[in-house]
Amino acid sequence: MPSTIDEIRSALEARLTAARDAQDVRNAQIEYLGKKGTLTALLKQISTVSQDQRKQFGEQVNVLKQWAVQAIEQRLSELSSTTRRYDIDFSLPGQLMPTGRKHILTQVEEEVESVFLSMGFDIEDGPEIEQEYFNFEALNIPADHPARDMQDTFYLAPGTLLRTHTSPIQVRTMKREKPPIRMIATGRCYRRDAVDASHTPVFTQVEGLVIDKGITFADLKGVLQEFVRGVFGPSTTVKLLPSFFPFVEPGAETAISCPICGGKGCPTCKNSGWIEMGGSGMVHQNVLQEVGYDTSIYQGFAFGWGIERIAMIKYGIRDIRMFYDNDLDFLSQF
Amino acid sequence: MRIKLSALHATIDFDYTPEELVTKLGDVGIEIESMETTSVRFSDVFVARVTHAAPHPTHQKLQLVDLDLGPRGTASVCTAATNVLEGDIVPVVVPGGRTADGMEIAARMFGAVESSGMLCSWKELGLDGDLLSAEEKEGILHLGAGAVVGSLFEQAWPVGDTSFEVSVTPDRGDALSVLGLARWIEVLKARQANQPFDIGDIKLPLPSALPHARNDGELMVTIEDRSLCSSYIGVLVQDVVSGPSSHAFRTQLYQLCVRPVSRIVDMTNLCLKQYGQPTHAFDYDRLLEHRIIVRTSLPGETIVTLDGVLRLLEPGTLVIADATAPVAVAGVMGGLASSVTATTTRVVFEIAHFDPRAVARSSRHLGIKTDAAYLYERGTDPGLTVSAVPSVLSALVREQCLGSYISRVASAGIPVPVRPSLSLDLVRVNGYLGSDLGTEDIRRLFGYEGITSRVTGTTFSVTPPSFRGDLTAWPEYVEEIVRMEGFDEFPSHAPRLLLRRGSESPLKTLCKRLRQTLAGIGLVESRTVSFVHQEVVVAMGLPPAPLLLNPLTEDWDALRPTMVVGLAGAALRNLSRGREGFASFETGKTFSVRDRSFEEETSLGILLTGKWQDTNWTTPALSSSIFVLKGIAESMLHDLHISFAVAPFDGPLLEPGASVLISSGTTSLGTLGILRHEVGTLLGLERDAFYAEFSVDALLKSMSTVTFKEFSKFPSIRRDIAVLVDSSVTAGELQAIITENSGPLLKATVVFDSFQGGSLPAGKKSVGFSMEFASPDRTLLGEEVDVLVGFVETALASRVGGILRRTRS
Ligand SMILES: [Zn+2]
Repeated sequence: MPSTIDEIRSALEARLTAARDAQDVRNAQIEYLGKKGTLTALLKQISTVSQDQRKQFGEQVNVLKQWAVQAIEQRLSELSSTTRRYDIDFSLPGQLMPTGRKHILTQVEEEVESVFLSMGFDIEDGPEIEQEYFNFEALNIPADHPARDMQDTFYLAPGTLLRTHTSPIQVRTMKREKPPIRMIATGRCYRRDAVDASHTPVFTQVEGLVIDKGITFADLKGVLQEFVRGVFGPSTTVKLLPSFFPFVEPGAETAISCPICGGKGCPTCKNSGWIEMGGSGMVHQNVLQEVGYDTSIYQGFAFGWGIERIAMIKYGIRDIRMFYDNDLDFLSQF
Repeated sequence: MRIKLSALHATIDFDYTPEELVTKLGDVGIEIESMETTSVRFSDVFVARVTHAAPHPTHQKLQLVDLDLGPRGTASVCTAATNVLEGDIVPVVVPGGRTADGMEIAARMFGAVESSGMLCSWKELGLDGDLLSAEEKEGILHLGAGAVVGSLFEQAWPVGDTSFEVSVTPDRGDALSVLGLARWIEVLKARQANQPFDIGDIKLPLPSALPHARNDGELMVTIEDRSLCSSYIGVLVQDVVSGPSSHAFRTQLYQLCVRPVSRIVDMTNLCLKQYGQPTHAFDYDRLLEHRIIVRTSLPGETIVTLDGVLRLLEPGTLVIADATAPVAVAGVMGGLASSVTATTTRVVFEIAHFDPRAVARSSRHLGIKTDAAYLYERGTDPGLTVSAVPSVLSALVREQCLGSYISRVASAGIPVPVRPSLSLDLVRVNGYLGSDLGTEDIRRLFGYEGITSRVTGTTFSVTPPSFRGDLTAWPEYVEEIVRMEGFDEFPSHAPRLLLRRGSESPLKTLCKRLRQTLAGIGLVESRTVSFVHQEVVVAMGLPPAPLLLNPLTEDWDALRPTMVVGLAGAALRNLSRGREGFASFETGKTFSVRDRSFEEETSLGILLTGKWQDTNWTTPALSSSIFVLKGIAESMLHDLHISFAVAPFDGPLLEPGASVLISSGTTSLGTLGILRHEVGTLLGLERDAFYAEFSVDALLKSMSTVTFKEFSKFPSIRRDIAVLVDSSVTAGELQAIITENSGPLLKATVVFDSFQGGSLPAGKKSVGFSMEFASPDRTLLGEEVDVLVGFVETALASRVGGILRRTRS
């Protein structure tokens, strides 16, 4: 064990020079400056030295200590700038974590719902097995009307069918509640369409209805505009074209500016810059009368869009069957 | 409906390009679904008359044909076709010319004979096969009498053209004809020029008087119910000779996209296509007592329709009858017995207006879809067409069937009653549209469409033209205002609605939460179709599911009573594509039928099979197992704050001994277990699958509200024990003993180990529990915890004969 101040100093000096990393330096620090360290012991010896040598010894020890602290600090900073403690290959993947997902249709559905919830719409629900009355008659689609050809229907029994749209929920809501009504409904619908790239017998709709005093066609345009901005982005615009749906009058087909090309024209929008999304219009007088509303006081609008269609346009999906194939290669993309 | 541009140009002048026309019609609500332009792809094809046809001297299969090419002289060609006779008018492509498929034609020697050209069939000319008759498509094309010999083929046949597929909504029956489309083009023109609609711009003859007749034949028309048939006109034509239509008529049909059949049928089809008025031809001599009675059918009445099918008529079906029996289903299809044949010389043409609903009912009930029924269902024009069409048809008959004459015009329900006018209020219109239109604006907009309006103050009295059967109530006029002004011209603003919070049902919120939780655990959400095969449902041992009366396919004839079928299908699809595992869930409706009443409930299915966790360098692969599934269920129920118990369960879908019923209090939440191998096999799954199904409605009922509980802030102490017990003792029983005997300081217990076999005696198993103790008010001492563990050990020994294998602190 070094006993003289010079010996201690040169020993520490050698030790620090030899240190390969910060830990080595810290170990030396503990050895010399720690509670049981060499220098600490030396400091304790000061009181035991004879009176005449005490002052000089004390000064020497203190100088040594100051030098040691500084030398250690300097060596630490040298080492930290030149060496790394770790050398990890971060191109290796991390530990596998759960990769579950909501279905893309669920994601779109919830997105649509949240846009309308934020505008103060209620989200209503209704049965999938529906009575012919709610699905057709109450919506101004009498038996033997050609409009029934638009919606080839699955029947379970005479008068009982699988809803062909979410519109019967409108009727159920209006029969249950008095205006003001502000609702949407999302849900599964059924049409007897042969399966191809744009048809599945099962599909999802979002339906909206607003009834109150003084609700106008201009309000319909305003709400649809907010809706498409919320779902497709702030620069999306909406355009209405005359069309026919038995439960609205005037009825309109709703198109949005193509979110893929921004309206310049691309294969998705067939170079028109517009994409048809679904129907809308002012609720037909016959429908309002059927639910017992006074048409001289109340009026309003309704719309019905396909969730699959929204998802297809938003994500560039070409084949509607993919939604129901549940291929993980598909589902895991969203 | 298909129509060609040339037919529209022949009817009204306009200078829109085909693309512009499509856009402009779309803007007023008439959708052109597709458009196809056909150009003339052949060259040097001429119309020729066959002056001589004889067998080729040496080539057995060839004919030698001499042709007259009019001003172009004559030519001789060889042909393998067998349908060429002297006097025929045929197309020939001469040397230097080219067929539609690009074949260059040169003079060619066949034996000693030079063939200077080639006779053409429809294919060499690139004609539309859909618009040709069977005869026209057989061998060399024959041009009818009247084709100009020596002219270029493209002058004799309208080859270069654009065809449109018009697809209208059910209220636009008025656009389903050349006249109808021309009227809409006139509307577009009127709007563009800011002029009122002028029917005079349309070049089709629109006479308003019935045709003159010689009045020498007997024909009586009676309508029994004017609400089902407002007008009926029978035109009796005598001395008719049947045969094919003339060349000029034939090419007109080609432009109208009508396939020729025979002269008489072609004429009725022309009226339908050009005027939107279905007409029918009866053989006058097959109408008993020469009477036509429009009535509803009587019970038991039948008819053999034109297609040869004997049909029992539903009583009340609107029919055309002679003195004794129905001869046609009104507006749908004629009867076979009274139909026109090659020997017919006296024809009665029917021009009528039937109630759309009545025709729709018959058409649907009989399952017959015809062009006539399609038009009638969508509403025909009771005014113009019923008055104009009889005259037009009569003129056509006289022109096409030389020597024939109009013998009698018998009618009922003429003149057509005038449509009543309707009152419309300006304030109401603006209040409906959110607009600021004046009376003059609206008058102008109505004018474009030929709607007459008189204004008194702010009230309009409006009368629609007879072809606008869709205009019956004031909102429909509002729609016309929007249509003419342009939907985009109307203001758009956010509605002034009361500020309030939107809400959704607790069930909907729960479904969202379930999907979020399960996706977070690592499951992928599937969405499968709701249809299943009843055979499979029954084979799985489930009660029969609700059956569809009209399934799309046999495999999808019932509504799913369980989620397992769809999820297994999704699993199968992924596994068959090389995936090693599938872990998925679906929420949605499942269906059942009880006493003929259908029920639906919201269900959650979870299916695991194959690998649960993939492997990489940090992570070992993990197979799905019944305890992976149970863990998922526990985690989900924990998230919902539902306390639950499990009990052994025997059901059709899950393996006995490997399935449990999960319940909360007295409410059954669902079942969980290993999918029965038979069920897996039935659904095509070869590997073990683990399946759970919950009633989301039951989960909703069992959710409890959360209230804060005080928890210990002092360090806890752990003690592990492992006991050896009979294999029949369940972990749950041991857990219960531990809980009962360790007092209130026990904070949690974990089963850290459970095994049998190996060094253990037969029939025994070892279960290890890790117990955590804590006090709410102090730091526990090891010694006092040891005392509690001692109680537990004693209880385990006395209650289930548990032998302590080890205790660890
Ligand atoms: Zn585009």
